[in-house]
Amino acid sequence: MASTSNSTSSKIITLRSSDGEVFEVEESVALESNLIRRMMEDDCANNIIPLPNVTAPIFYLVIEHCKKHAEMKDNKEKKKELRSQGEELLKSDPHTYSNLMEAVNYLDIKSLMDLTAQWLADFLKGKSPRLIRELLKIKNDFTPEEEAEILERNRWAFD
Amino acid sequence: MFSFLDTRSLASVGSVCRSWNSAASDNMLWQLQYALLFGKADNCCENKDKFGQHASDQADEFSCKKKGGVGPVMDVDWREAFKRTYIGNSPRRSTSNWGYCVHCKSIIWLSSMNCTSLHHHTTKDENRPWKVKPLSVHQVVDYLLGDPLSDMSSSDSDSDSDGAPFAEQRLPKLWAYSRHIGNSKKPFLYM
Repeated sequence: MASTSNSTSSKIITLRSSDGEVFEVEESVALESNLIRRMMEDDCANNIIPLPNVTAPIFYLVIEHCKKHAEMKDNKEKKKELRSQGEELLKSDPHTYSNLMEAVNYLDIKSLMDLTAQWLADFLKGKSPRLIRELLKIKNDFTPEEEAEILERNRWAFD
Repeated sequence: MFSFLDTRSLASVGSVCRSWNSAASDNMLWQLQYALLFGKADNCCENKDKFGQHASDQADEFSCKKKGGVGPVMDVDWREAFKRTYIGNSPRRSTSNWGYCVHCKSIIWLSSMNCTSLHHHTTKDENRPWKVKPLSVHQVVDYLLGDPLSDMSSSDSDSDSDGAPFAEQRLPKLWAYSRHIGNSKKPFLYM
């Protein structure tokens, strides 16, 4: 069990990742997620909130990012820290980073979404489709004919 | 995420896999790309006046549609619109345009209407950009053929089969360029 709470004053929300791990998160952090906010507003969140699309390691990253992001609002150092951490992860493990982004998207955390998306976009700029597939572990599900057709259709952008 | 990408990268990520392809084909994305590169379609007439830039005729058509409320905006294939405008108006090409300088009555190269590095008098008259009029490729070709070569081109062009090769000999790049542009629907209107 991973506890991310260090305050006694704030309400604690309990969440469960897809692989069954239970997280206790401060309400203020959990509410960064619009998905969790909506669930709580609709009163579907009396007990443990299940997050079927997010695994524990990724959710841990999300919480970490959320906390840093909440702190960085008035702290330039934290902002730098978050950025360098994001960029480091992106460089060392782009696949995990893209999973983090998917989770952020699923949890609907607007503030983090913009940041992570911008970084990933910067990372992908100028990279070939083949390299992108390799880095993010994406399967090429085109037939060779389809792929050739798409390349031909997009050729104007590269001429 | 795709909205943060530039045109080439957007075209590139569309070839990664099926789901990315459909995401990268999103109409809104291309509308955004269009707005970023060529200005909002609503303002394209304004931009044309202001910066001497030209959006494609099709874009004008779109903006009229949009303004008049005749067709809903979703009807516009922004990817196609972007492509057309991009091909005719890619940054590489539009950064170096021709302009007619009223002062010395000659054609000059200009960058976004500020030919400060090229012409002494325009630096003084920056507030009066009408002194340099942007020209279409066709106008430049007409000028080059019509002015210094008027006697030859007028007599040779129709009767003599050497007319076109002659021009190509003299102005191979210009001709190649003008033909290329000529493939799009209409010649560009700068003024």
